[in-house]
Amino acid sequence: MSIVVNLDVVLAQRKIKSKDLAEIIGITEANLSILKSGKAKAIRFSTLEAICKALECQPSDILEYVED
Amino acid sequence: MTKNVLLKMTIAICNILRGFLVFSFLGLTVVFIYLQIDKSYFDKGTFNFETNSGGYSLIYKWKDKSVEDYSQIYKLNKIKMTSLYRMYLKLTGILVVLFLCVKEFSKVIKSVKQVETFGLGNVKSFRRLGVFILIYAFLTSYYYIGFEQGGISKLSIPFVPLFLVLLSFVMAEIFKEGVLLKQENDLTI
Repeated sequence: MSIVVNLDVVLAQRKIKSKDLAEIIGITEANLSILKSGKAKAIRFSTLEAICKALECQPSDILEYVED
Repeated sequence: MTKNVLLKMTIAICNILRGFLVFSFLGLTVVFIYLQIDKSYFDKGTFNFETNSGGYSLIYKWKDKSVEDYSQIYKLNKIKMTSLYRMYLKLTGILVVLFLCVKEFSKVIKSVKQVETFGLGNVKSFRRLGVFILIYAFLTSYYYIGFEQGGISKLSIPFVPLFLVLLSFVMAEIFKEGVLLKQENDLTI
């Protein structure tokens, strides 16, 4: 996959648990797990905005383009 | 959608229809067996071949020269044994196919009720429904009944079932598209 989700890294840097983030941004843990594992096909702007707000980061910190 | 009256009614109608088809099969079997035990009981039972199924048809009738009217030939107790067996098997086949059609349709309605409309199961159900209706169309398109003093054969193109076959396969494709959209929506976070 060309787009890599670095949510795990940012979460570790901020020392926030997945469960807490899911609660803050208002999505289920299962959906957050899908996002972290890279299985998600798309991400809503509203979700991205909520994640960035909760983790005080930029979208580029979470998403990264890697050439195959 | 668990409280939808329309869906509940449809499921109830499907169940009644399934029961009716089972009873029809039992009735057919009783007549089939009894006809071999006591033919004279069916002296007044005549066939009516005048019904129009709504399609192009080709009918061929024949009779012995000694018989004046066709109505004297087409009697249940004068049917040839081979024709009787063939008709029994054919009618059983039609009832079985109709039963399976109702079952598949019922499955689709139940899935809609459980809010699992766009699942691969419904795609398969519509495809199966198409195949069953195609078999039904094939079974009803032709018949040949031999009587002691004549007979009748009919070949027809059943447009309504064939249209339903097409509709079922189209519905399967629409549901397939729906499944893909649902999967994509489920994986959008």
